[in-house]
Amino acid sequence: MKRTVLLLLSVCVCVFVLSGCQGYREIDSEYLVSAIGFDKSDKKFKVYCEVLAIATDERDSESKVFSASGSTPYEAVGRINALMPKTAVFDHCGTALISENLEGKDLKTVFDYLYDTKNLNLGIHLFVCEDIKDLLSCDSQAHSVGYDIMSVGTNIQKTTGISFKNKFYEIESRIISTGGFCVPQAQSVSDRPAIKGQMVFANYEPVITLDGNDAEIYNILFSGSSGGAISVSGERCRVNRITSDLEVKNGTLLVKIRCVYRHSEDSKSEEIRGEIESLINNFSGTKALIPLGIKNDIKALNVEVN
Amino acid sequence: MENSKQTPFYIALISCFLAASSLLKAPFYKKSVTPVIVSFVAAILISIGFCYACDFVLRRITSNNIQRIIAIILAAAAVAVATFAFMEYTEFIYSAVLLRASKLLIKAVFAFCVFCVSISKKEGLYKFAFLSVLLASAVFIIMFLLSVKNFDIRNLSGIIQLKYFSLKQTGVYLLKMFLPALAAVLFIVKNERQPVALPILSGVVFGGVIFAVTLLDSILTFGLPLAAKLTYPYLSDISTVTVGNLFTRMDGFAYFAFFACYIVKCGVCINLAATLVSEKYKKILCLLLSAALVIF
Repeated sequence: MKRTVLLLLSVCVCVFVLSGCQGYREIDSEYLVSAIGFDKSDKKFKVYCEVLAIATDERDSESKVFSASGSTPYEAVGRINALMPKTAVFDHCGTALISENLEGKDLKTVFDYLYDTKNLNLGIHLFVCEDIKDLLSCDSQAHSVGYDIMSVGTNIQKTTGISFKNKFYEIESRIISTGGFCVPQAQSVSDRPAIKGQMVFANYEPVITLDGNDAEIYNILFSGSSGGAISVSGERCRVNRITSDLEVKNGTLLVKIRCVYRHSEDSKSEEIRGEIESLINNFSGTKALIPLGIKNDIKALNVEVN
Repeated sequence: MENSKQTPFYIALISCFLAASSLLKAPFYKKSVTPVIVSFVAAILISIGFCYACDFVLRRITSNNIQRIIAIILAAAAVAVATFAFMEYTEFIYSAVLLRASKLLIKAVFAFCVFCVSISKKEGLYKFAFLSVLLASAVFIIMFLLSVKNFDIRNLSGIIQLKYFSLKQTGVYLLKMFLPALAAVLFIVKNERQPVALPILSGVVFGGVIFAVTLLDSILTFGLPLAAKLTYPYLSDISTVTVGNLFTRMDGFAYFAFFACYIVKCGVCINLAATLVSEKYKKILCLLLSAALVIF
């Protein structure tokens, strides 16, 4: 019994000791990268890194933005590392910002970089934006614009139920299966990060930018919505879950929607059904469906609201 | 110890072997979308058939010389299993965990650990395997539950659509998972005088469940095509696990599970090889074989 306890204790010690804690450093001796941005100008990749310099007193913590250019993202990141007075830790980087200038081969190079770099998490959130420098200079609540943008996305999911599915592995998975993917578009509004719509890509080329109702419908159809709200005559109605069943027939996307509505005293099921039907049939972003093999149109075949 | 009391230890040992074969690099043929279920079951049936065929042949051999030759062949096979496991684990450590550490140092430390495990008594090895599987299972279950929020149920359609049987994929399962696990079976059979068929089968089932849970975890998160493309799918999967906003990169907690399963696999194989060659010089042979692993 005594030996078993000793063995168990030694195994428990191993759990913590053999967990790769080599090269232990104090947290204030390094920069925590919260966002990484990629742009291209003058045939060179320009990489931006927003870093958090964490101090013992949280009020003294601050964020800084470093940038450098290189013929590849690796070279640019290497130059940024050389510029920084402290070691940069990329493991907890939450956001990757992609410039709207990047497309085709350049965008693929950036995606390959994100895929191959061991220190970057596959769960990193992707956003496209017009001006990375402008976005990263926004006023931040959490000392970091990178983490703030992630929170904006999470809040949208909480309030509207729309899930952007913009984690890098979710996008990479779509690229492998369909070649098409969409990325939320971030911008600075009143010096705060905000999401204005979504950009749809096919084979790394931008196809269309969706906003408002179209972005909402696109997400319901292709990303799924775990619940949230549907706007009916200007009033937001809470729904528990919206799921879609899609079928492509002769180049037309036939949609079946099942919506579980949170009933109150006066049921608005019929109004919600009409609203979803109208949103689908008036979807103006048909171009966004081309990467998915839909050439003609989109049609609500059956909308069921319970 | 009675056979029934030993059963969990046998199960744990075989589970360690199967887990160590599938945890790091998922056994996919050429990293492509391949059939999973049919080939997996076929590989289990073939390996069990192989096991019984060997047993049938060995029982009919009475010549000492032939027995000696067979023992040396089996010892060489055990060393090969240990070598591949050693290479896979050390490559994982210096390419994914300790990026800046010296390769030789990593290999030397792991080889030393393998030596320490290989010279243990069989009871010690069983207990270590049992505790390792216990902790590893706890880690896998916790990681699975924490990953649930990342799951996309539509990713399952990739598996459901796989209707056909692939000989190549069956071969990958056999070579990578089930034939190496026969070293554990041989270790048990050599050390025990009682029938152990049922515990061995239970071990295969339990190891298969561990493999299925970790594979399902990766497939539900990434989808089959991406899971097949990734070098370390399960590790990548658990690296995306977050608990609230505060705890990210939980993959560090699973490293011990990987370490324990691989060290049991390598240690048992070295022990088996040394025992098969010479009981008298077992410790010296364990030392030489463990040291030789550093070359690879």
